[in-house]
Amino acid sequence: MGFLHLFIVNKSGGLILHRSLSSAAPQIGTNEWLRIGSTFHSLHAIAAEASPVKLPNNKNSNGAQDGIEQIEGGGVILKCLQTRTGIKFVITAEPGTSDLDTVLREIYVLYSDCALKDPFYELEMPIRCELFTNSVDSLMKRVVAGEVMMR
Amino acid sequence: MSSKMQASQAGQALWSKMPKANAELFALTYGSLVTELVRDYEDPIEVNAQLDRIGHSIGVRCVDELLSKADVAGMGLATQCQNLRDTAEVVAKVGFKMFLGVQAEVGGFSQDQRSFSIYLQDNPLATFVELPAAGDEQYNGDDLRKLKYSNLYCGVIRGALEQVNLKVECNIVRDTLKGDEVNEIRVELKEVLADGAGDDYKEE
Amino acid sequence: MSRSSSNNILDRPLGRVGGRSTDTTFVSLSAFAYIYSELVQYHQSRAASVSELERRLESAGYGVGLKVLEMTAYRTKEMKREIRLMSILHFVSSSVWKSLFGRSADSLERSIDHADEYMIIDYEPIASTFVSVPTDLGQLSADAYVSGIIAGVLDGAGFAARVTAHNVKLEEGERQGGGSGSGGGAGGNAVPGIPPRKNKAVFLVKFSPEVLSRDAALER
Repeated sequence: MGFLHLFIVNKSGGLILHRSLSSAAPQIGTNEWLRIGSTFHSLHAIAAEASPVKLPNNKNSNGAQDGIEQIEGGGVILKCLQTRTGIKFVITAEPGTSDLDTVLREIYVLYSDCALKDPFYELEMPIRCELFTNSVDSLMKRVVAGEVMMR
Repeated sequence: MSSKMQASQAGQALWSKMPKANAELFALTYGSLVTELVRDYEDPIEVNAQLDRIGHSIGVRCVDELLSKADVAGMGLATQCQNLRDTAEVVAKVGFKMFLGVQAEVGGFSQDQRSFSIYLQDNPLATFVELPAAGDEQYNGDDLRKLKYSNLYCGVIRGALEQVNLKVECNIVRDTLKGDEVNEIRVELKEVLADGAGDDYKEE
Repeated sequence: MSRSSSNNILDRPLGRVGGRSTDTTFVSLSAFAYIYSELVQYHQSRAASVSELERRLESAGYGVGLKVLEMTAYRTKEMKREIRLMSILHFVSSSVWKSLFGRSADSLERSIDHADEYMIIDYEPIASTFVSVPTDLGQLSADAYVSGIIAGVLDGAGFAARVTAHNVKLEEGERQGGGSGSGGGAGGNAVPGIPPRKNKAVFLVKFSPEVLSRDAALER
């Protein structure tokens, strides 16, 4: 399993979290991350316009804003979960890594539990909830250990 | 109707997976908040506005929980919400059920299909609550009967639907605390917001 | 009362809500967490310091505690009022805890250093389940609300005490059999996906001197 990074972009394109998911993940500076976040946000939106197939009102089958779902490069896969509420959960991994979709959906659940219920977390702001980051780390450990995620 | 069946089943399934908390602790905690608001704001109309604001804060958050958990459970909820009627079913049968464990019903659709009511028999917020009779001297003449004790729900629904680009107005029109047989929340669609579904929401 | 007697709240059974189905005795943990989160935010906006926030949360719980005492005592059919200190502590750590949290407290201990201090320990304190206290709020315990509830119960029963909540790091292997991460004995409160906690909540109960001397007098 070659998970690399996780990043989360809010509705307005601001980066609210970036996290290495393994020691193999390359180090990326904070400013670089901010650029990645906003660039991806814009590309996601433009992609729907540039796409030869335009969905009604740009809504995909989940009712969420249509846009980039997956980017495959020579050495990396990027997968994005765009929620109906406008947040993007993005994960990068080495090619051949499985369960990217499942991991993204589980992370969305963890966000709803650990960040949204924290009285000290302000919506749309950078996530500093220790419980969220600990839970994500714990999730990644279980995924790498091959444990089936049943909810 | 098939969408009704699915929403009920989804609600029940999600409810069974949710970790639980004692309903009385929940009601008493809400009571503590309301008491504090009454103490700080005094005017019941102002308290109602605060409850709506607080409900809104909860609403914008709980909708992500509903969507993410329904998604993980493989329920195609989002595809179901083709119109306001479906959305109403999800709010009542999935939302109220998974969070509060109660059966809520939908009905009272207006001619233009832009407003509906949610009916609640059991109100978990108001366990143990009784509003003081009008003219109760203890409260310095503030008529606490003007207090909409469960106004939180209005804010929650408004906030949650706002996150999926539906701007609504909610009002409590019947309240068991005031002697009515059922609790009724009236929801009216004001606007489908930009980035919203637009054409998908046809007025039937 | 101006309302008809059938609707009079005092006449209604104190049993579970409606008595219709077992579902109505519970709400989701999320629902509690959202309300509690709003309660904390409300008090935080009005508190000038961390200790003031803690005091406000304790106050918020106090009134609840007074009510919980009456409810729990009635339901457990306690015919006699508790007059001994150890009895009231047992009442709190088992009956009240079961009533509010669905299980007994994990431990009840007596302080070695202070004769007037006792500790109630909870490995999965419900109020702080989803709370991540930022570093600038230091030692704030999000369970301060529960200490208020305990204080209300004790004071209502005639055992005035100052109750405070503390986060204490768990020792190696302290929790019984919960190693698999499922929460072990406290499984009822464990949230799927969230790793087991590294801290426990210690509710420190410091009884007032009159309570201790009264209890000592009863000893004789």
